Amino acid sequence: MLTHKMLPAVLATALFCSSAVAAQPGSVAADGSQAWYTFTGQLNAQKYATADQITPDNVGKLQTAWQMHTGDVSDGKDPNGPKASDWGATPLFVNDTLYVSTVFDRIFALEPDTGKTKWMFDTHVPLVDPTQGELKNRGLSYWQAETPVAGQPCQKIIYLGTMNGKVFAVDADSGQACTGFGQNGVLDINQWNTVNAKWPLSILQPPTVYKNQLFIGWSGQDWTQAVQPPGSVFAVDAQTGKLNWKFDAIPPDLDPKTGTSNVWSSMSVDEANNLVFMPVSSPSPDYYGGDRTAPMPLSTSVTALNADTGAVVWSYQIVHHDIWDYDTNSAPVLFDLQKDGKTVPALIQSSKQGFLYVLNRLTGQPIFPIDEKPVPASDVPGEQAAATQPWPTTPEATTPDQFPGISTLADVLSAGYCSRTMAGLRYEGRYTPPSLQGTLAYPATAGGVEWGGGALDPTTNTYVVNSSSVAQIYRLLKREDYDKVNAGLSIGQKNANGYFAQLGAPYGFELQTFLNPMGMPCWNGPYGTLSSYDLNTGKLNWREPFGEVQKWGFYMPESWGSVTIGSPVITKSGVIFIGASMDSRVRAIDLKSGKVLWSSTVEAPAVAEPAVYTYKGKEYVVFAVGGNSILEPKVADQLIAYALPE
Amino acid sequence: MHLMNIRNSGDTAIWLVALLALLAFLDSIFNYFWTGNGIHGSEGALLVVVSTFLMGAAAVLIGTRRVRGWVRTLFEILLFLDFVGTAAAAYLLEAWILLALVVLAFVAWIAHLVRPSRRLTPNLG
Repeated sequence: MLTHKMLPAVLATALFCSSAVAAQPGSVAADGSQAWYTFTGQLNAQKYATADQITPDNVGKLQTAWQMHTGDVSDGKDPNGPKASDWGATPLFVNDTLYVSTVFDRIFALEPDTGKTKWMFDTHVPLVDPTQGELKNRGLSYWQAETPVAGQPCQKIIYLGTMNGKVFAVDADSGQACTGFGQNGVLDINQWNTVNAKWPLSILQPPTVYKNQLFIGWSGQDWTQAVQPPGSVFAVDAQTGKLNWKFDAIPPDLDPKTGTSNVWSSMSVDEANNLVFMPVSSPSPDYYGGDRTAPMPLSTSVTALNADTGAVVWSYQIVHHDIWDYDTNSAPVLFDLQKDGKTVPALIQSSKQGFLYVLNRLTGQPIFPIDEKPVPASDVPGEQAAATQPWPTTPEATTPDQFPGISTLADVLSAGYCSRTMAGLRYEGRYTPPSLQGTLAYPATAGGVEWGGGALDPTTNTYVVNSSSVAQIYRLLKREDYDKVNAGLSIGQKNANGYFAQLGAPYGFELQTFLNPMGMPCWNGPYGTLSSYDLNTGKLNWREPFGEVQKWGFYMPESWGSVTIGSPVITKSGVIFIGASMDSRVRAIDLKSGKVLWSSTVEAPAVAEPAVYTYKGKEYVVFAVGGNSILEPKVADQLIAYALPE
Repeated sequence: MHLMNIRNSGDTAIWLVALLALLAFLDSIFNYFWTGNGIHGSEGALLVVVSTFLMGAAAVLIGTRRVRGWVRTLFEILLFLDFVGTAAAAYLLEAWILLALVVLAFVAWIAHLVRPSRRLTPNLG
């Protein structure tokens, strides 16, 4: 929802910001080649590599250049050991070094061409996870002074956020703590967790660094309670950790009723216009909004802030009164759209529901039509679902509007379990509200598109995005029923069984993926696709099933595709690199046709976005291979680099 | 020629089956434990460890004539089912070396079936 009161700020931004802007320090490597300096490659989140040595013609010759194992991995099976690891860290290539963080909160600085360790920093953070159920890590951030002073420490800083809400600042050259940051090199963001502090804030995605500030979002447990910490984003000084400003998506007067609407994903930055873009998640509790019916226009939105002040420049709400956990979950990709002979500053926001929202990034106005369509009403006592929802028609959504139908194979093999279950569910298309009888949610909270988002070739405005097709069953349970089912279970056990307490709300919640008793999906595939769009026209170039479903080690047909987590990278030479699939493979794909050109098997699903860089004249593609329990109960600690042979 | 000895000189094929099953078993164990193949530690990889072991055991029992009569016929049928099941599993596991070994073992088993069943030679001693 664009607020007209915000327009003066938009105009001011447009008037006073120069189009000629110095690039973020550190975004260019020493030899002039491109650095890979953020979770999304660049601040505009395009995930575009200018490297062109590896081409569609020679990518088939790719070989392992080097690999290393960090040693930081846990399958969670030891009752006295750490929980299972969930490693999705994008490596950074900056300062002529490859940096990667681990789920045990260590930082490795590596030689980019050999993988040999230059230094290692151990935070010694206890290996416990206060909020996520797993040990998660998604990478690092990098800052450097505009003019680094030789011999001075901490002119270049690597930052690591941890599950217990600490940000560690480490000198990028020496691996020593930057003691001027926070307290002795550690900033505790939980010092600002003062409202509805039901649990500690966890830093999941690395902070976004722009100019001399870090923008720090966090994750929590928005399924456990109704009233929770409001989803503040903290902007702090990159050298001292001093709080400059704070952004809250929830109006303060609603703090007693709700919480979160946090930014747990990465952010993007328009350097020319000094805007930072926030993918804002849903308010708590996730699946019942009867106690939070007052307007919250910034929740489940993409919101542009003035990077210096934190003032909201514009905001576009992609889901009204979110009761599906459709968090805006990835950094919007910024680009310049060519339309009617004009250049329009644009962004594209992918989403869990598979919709792609293309907006003017200075105003938040849709560039392609987005209708407000009537959607089904809630039949749950107390709930008031929104009457309409924004419905982009161009570009075509990555997931179909209608449930793809019951899989005959899964249904027959389960003696009709799938069709019997379906007959008992409520389903009236997109945005069917959660219900007491059970609602078929399609697309569901598992995506659509997850936190990696898509990649963009700015030379042609070709946008590539992986997407899942997942059906889940949403069922609200009256409090007494919920308590009966979950008597004696810990929060972790309830979560593992798909039960979310939503304490303080009249209903608990049950979330199950729609599988038959053999574990087969009850709906027709493909379960995952890779799509390419021409964003100048909004038209789909191609869509292909992507990856392979793997069950008990057995690979299913390629036409089924795979549920994916992770994101693609596009290179200047027209190659897409992507892991993401549940079959533990990384692939190179032809940008023009969508055909697989090369693949390699790795030790677990590679859910991190790869890093692509050129070092000493050679192009490398590096994947962090860590697995993710949403795809497969498989974990690893493998960092593997590919390059062409000598 | 008052005595006849039964000799198995025509049944080297079943020992070839046993050898190929042994190789398939070793390959399956390797697949189960080697982390770089995408199937390590999986139920499917474990299944073919068991099925190739049973394949080898059945071939040895047939080759050494520990089983006779209807029990032997039963073992031949089970061996056939083992070939089919293991080959299908290897295909779905995309374990191509294993699949090749099982196909070769199957060919050897066909040779074993179509060989002159028993050759009677005179005991001249």
